[in-house]
Amino acid sequence: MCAWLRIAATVMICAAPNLASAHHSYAMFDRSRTSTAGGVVAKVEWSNPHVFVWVYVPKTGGGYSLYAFESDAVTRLTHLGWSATSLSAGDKVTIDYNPLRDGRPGGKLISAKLPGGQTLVTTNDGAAPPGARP
Amino acid sequence: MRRGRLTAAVMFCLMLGAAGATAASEPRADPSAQARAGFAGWWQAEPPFVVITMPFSPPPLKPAAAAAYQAATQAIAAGGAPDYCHPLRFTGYSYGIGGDMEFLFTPGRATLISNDVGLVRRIYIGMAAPSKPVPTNSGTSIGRWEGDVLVVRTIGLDPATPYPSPMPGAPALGENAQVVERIYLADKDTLVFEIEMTAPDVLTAPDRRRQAYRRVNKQIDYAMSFCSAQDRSVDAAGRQQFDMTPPKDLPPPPPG
Repeated sequence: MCAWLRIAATVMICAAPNLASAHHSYAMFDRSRTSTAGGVVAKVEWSNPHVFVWVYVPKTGGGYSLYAFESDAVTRLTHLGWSATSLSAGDKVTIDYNPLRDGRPGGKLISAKLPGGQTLVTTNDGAAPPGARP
Repeated sequence: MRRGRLTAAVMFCLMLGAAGATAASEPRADPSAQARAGFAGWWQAEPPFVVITMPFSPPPLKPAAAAAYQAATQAIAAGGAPDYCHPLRFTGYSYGIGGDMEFLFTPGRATLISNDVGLVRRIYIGMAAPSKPVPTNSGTSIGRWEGDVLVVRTIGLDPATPYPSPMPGAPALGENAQVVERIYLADKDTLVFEIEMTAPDVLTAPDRRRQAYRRVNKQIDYAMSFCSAQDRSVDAAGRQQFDMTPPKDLPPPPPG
């Protein structure tokens, strides 16, 4: 496969969650690393093309850092079992994510574990996780 | 003897007439009725999505179109993300995505609605195709039933439509493009689209794809538009930037 086709494949695979999101490459996230952050949900922005989850994460010396997590489109998340009220402000949550390359707190959300033990997943590289068939 | 033959002939004719009358009074079987009932409802695209397989088996693009497509993909990979907030336009693959669609039937018409992106396709069944339709986002679609297969021919596609994907900077579809779809149920919960795209300005030969859909047995109500204005991955200058400006109504952190 020639180079530009590899690029096209990468862009389109990253855009799999929805058609209209063929607009960025996800290069801002380090897809080779997975980090974990636990905290309290500050806000959920339930909108297309990406749902955003804001989380207050406790700092070692006291206080909180505000983390931002980008997720998939509303359509994909809904078929994976999410709803607009799956996460609400004040919920304790543990997030697995691909961190931002620039070091700011946040990244591409992979999964969210709720206090009751339920884990909500998102697509990664455009591929639905095992057992996530709608 | 002669009278007997005449009587027999009259009786035979009367019987034929009665049989014909009986056949005419019975409701005609409509081979498409069962298919219409089976098509109706909500569907979600099944992997492999056409939009994903496209780079691995690209359409036979003419050199200029291939160069434009290459430039568009490289620009995005390099960090560009031009403003986008345009209605989706049909190019045959508009439903080959992870989104949902609804199939509705009303007399003389089938309607396909993409809930994710708001594209509505009205398919007129049995109508003659206009010779010069006004270009629109959905094109002009004429359908006919071949048994339980719905065959849809769509012309009048907007020549400015990005092709083969709605990626910003992709080449324009051009004039006289046409899509022919054969839509059928592979089983009661699997709807298949066999798609043939013809676009003489950008393709050297017809492009053929297949997309399957899985039935979704629930109401789906989350239509939302896709705009860079609400995408935190794209800044106002059209660059890929992760915007971490907190929402104005963000509550304060927990005490302690």
